[in-house]
Amino acid sequence: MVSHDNIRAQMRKGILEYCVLALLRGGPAYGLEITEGLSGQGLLDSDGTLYALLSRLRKQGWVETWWRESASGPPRRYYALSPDGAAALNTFVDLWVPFSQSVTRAISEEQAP
Amino acid sequence: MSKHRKVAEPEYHPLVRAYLTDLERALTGTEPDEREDIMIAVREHLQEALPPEGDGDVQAVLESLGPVERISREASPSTPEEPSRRAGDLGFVLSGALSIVLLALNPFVALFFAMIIGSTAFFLSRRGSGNRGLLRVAAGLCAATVLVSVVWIVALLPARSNPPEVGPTHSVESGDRP
Repeated sequence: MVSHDNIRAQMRKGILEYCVLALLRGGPAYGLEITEGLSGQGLLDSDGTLYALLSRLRKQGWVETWWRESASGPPRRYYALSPDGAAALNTFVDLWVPFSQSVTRAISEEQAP
Repeated sequence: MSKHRKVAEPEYHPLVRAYLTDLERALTGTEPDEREDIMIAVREHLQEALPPEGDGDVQAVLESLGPVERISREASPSTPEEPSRRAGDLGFVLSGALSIVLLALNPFVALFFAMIIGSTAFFLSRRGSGNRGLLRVAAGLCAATVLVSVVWIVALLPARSNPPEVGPTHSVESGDRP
């Protein structure tokens, strides 16, 4: 039987990166801020996996990074949405809204024969 | 500020040290750049999440980071260099060496050959295709050939453009001719 965790992990694949981009739409953020933002929405079940994802997004050119001194501790690496990342996010949003509506319709009980 | 920056290494709790060692080992088969990025980011996360003095809730912070295997699964596996691509890059180096040999035969042919091979190797290395080191060696060999052949050709030009000097002609009159 497929476990709850497995289904959630499958659903996150390919979607979480756009949630990160959407979070960065609000402005640059450092690692811990991003993990807190995503965990607070129940989108992240282990913070460490986010850093692998952020590294890939940086390599793809979808996020830009830089270091900034912190008043309360060590320097922080900030992540910001790049123009390519913003374009990718817009494309995802265009596709996601009708797709998620179709999924909702497909699995709703009223549609069942 | 630079993109890559090492965060000053603090004194970690033994559990944190063990976690970082495990993570580094788990990331062995991943892309080197990505591995370095992840290690830096996780260290920064730990420094942010754990207070500088006292143990804090180390166990809870490590649990929130998740198992190291899960992190390594998210990372991109390193791509071994394809044998055919490496052979192609070696071919560029051999062609660069061949251009030097061609110099001995004909500097014009060597120049033409080195310019084609060298510029291709240079653009491939700039684009990040193939083995950058081998491509740079090939481009360097071709650049040397171009330099030597140009000097050679320039040195040859005056010799070819000036016709050999002809000395004053002397007509020989022969009184013996009938």
